[in-house]
Amino acid sequence: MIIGFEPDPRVRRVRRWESPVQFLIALFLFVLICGVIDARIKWPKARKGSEQ
Amino acid sequence: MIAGHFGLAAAVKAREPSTPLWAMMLATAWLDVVFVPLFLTHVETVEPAPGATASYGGGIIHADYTHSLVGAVALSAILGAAGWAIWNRRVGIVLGLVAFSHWILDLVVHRMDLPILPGNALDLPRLGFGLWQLPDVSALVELLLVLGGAWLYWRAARAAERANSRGNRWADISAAAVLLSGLVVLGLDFTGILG
Repeated sequence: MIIGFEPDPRVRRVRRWESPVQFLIALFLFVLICGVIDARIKWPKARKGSEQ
Repeated sequence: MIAGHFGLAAAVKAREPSTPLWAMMLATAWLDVVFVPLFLTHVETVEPAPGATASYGGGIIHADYTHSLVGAVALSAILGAAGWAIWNRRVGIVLGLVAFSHWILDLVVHRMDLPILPGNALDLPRLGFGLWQLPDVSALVELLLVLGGAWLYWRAARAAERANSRGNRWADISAAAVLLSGLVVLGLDFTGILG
């Protein structure tokens, strides 16, 4: 870091490991939100061992 | 290509309403979910594609196990078997096929980095039609998948609610959530925020 140089806080350096972790977090967040709301709809239920 | 997978999941949910949406969304991203721990342990890697300027689709992805043709079939079969065990055979088959659809969509966009055999054994030719070389076109295809999937889902959800003499409220909210999820994921992916 250059002395006297303030990094722009809007510029965020993404470390290498963060990217897939962000992906997983985003994925599970969207799956959770959509899944919970979708469960409010009266879809035909899939029963264990039943084809309908 | 994450939003496009979501769009396909929504479209399939409209056709196979007894399969839970969350399971469908998980299935459509299943290969990437397994990819993450292998990426973190450097078993599978990503390198910038030569000449690529955008982060969206700008990588050569060495996902030689999870995204090999045989690996994708095996992972899809595992998820399908889980779906069969938890619900029933039909749901299992649907989830297995949706999981494998990930590889088909990736085949369209990837830059000839998808091996046939795990670990690129036998050094067979790698596959990929390379639509990511045209990021704008690729993003447009994803957008169409999201819009089409959300629309089909919305119609099916309304029909399901009507069949139970219920209003459209939750069908509309749920379809909006599906649409928004796809659009936000596409935005994050396209701008490079999601990585």
